[in-house]
Amino acid sequence: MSSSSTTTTTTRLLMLKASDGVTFEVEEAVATKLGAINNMVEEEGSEDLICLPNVNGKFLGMVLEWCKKHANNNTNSDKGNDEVNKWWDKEFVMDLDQNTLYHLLMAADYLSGTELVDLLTEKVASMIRGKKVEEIRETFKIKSDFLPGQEEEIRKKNSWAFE
Amino acid sequence: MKMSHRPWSDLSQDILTLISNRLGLIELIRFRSVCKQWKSSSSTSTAEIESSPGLNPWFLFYGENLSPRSITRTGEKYAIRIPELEGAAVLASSHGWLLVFKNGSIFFLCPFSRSRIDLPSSPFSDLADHVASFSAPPSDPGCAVAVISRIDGRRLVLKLLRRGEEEWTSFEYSYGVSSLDAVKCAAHRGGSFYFFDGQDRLLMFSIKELGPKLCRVVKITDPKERAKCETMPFWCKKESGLKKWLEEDDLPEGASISTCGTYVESETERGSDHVIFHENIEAAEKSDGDQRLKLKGVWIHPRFFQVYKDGRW
Repeated sequence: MSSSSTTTTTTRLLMLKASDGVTFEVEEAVATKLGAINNMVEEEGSEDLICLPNVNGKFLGMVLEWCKKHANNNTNSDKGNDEVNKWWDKEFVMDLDQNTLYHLLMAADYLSGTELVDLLTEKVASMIRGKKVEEIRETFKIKSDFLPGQEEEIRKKNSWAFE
Repeated sequence: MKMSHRPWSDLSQDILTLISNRLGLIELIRFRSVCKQWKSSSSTSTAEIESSPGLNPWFLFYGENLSPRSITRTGEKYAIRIPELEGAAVLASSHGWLLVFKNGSIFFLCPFSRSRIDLPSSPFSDLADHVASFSAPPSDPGCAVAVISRIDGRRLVLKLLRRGEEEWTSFEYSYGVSSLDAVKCAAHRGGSFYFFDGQDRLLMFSIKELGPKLCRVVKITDPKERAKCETMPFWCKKESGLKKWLEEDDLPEGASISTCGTYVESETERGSDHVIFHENIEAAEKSDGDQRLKLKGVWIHPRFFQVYKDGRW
């Protein structure tokens, strides 16, 4: 047997508690990819249980899943990692239904997961591209709240873009 | 917990801004008319992706008796209302802004948002052989504008205005008759203005040193020789291929067109940027002696800048 010690770096585990009481045990290195958790860890130091009253377990789970994938992919210093991450991100956002996308975006924003917010806002942007205003409103279930005449005014300014 | 369907109009301003920042020109304009919240959250979005490195500009037609039309990089055509361009001449195009001369005054115009920033009194009252360039968007504190014109056969005058200044500074420059032809095109890069004549000469003007330098542009392949010379930081596209690209109904028979070029960043870091030159595309002689139709055009990256501080320079 070789005498070399196995290099298992001991990583600290954090316990994250969602608004509905669901808890997640996560490696510190993964959880601190989220700016908000990183701040809490740095400020509060020893605290191992972190309560997140603004995130539901379902979405916290999804955010952490994304963090884990990215943390794992980044440990290999392969050049192909970017490609792997991109491919995985694509899969991640592909089948999100609108309600999930909405709540996930709120969760990622609350947890300051900047990269994930970028990914999700790009997904929303892609749902806007190529659509007419009425189609955008329909897609996102939005009712126009402009005063009568206001919308016409806006459209008139750039009528060419509404053709 | 009940997962209620939350309205997308209620997303935080910050998130909405992140979304609108990712949109191109047409989508941004549409985004702004969805609802009040979406409109106010996108007030600082400028369709930045439209000038991403490697993306070609749009082409904008304008001129007397011609309502402006734009042709996108994919060939779609739109008729756009831009009263500011009626009877005007575009002197320079860069960063999604145009430098416009009209009725004796000079101003910046973002033609798609129709934002306008007036410059202090124009340094000239009639347009002649003036060629201009500017270093940054007019809202940028480092923006400088340079306009060059000929006084006579051997003297040039360069007028410089830096942001915040109320008066133009003049620099006169004499040169040998054969050393510089009429200046045809200008560009800016890395703190220097580049003025090209129709031949192979170049007048460089450093904003910091406030001094001109006359150069010859040559193509050198021998690495040893090349080491002795300065390298141009961009390449020049003297012919944009516009004539081939335009369709017949864009350029009616007998029409000539004078264009204003722009600066295009390269997609890769190692590739170099290029300048699309100003061009004059003359019509084929018409035998019936009809007056030729004179059109104008400008290459521009379609951005959407909004100016709130009453458009002061």
